[in-house]
Amino acid sequence: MGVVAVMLFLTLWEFMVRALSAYNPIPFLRINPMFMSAPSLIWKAAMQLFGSGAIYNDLYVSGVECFWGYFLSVAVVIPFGIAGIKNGLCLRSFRQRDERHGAGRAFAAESLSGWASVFRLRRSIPNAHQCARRREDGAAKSSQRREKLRRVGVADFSQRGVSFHGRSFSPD
Amino acid sequence: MGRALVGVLVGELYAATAGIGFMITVAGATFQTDKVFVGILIFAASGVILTTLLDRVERRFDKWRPNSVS
Repeated sequence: MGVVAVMLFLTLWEFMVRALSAYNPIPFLRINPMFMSAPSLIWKAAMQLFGSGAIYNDLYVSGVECFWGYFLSVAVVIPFGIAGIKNGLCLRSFRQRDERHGAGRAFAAESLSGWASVFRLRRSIPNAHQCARRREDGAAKSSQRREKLRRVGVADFSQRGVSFHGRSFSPD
Repeated sequence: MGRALVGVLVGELYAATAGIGFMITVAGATFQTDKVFVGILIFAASGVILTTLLDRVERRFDKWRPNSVS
């Protein structure tokens, strides 16, 4: 449906331009083709531009501008946001650095700390399933350690506290 | 990506000596409507292609994110 609609639009556009061209026998339907393009004329112009190679320098210049703009925004702003997430909206530390060293160095420092967070992220942020598994593993290991200490007789964990080599320590 | 391309286009429309935006400006000033449309189509096509590519890269790197229950 979408392709049909686009084809219909292009055909209608082409027809209108051809029908309303400067050679139209009806005078008030004549338009100068200089002000109105058509799909076939655009295709012809594109072929001419790419064929002669005149457009490649423009494409290169625009590509370089787009790359550097996007790269700099990624290199500065995204780590800044991640640093904010990791440090609890780093506005406070940013403000302190801004007051001490100026905005430029504050931005650089926050971005660097953000990049450090990016490299830590892949190792340190587990998904929900890994979180549950780590909790279970931790609880099992802890219980094993307590059982071992109790069996050896070094320490005994009770509800109230822990006794260690005969001396008991309680939270009270 | 869209904003990056809009930035490039607007920047070149006003202050540039080369680039697709500059080509659009020159073609528009010299009544070469076909070339204007070629430039606009190039920007549109690069926007679609680059956004699709970045979307794929984003999907590759956000596998760690837990599925949100909506």
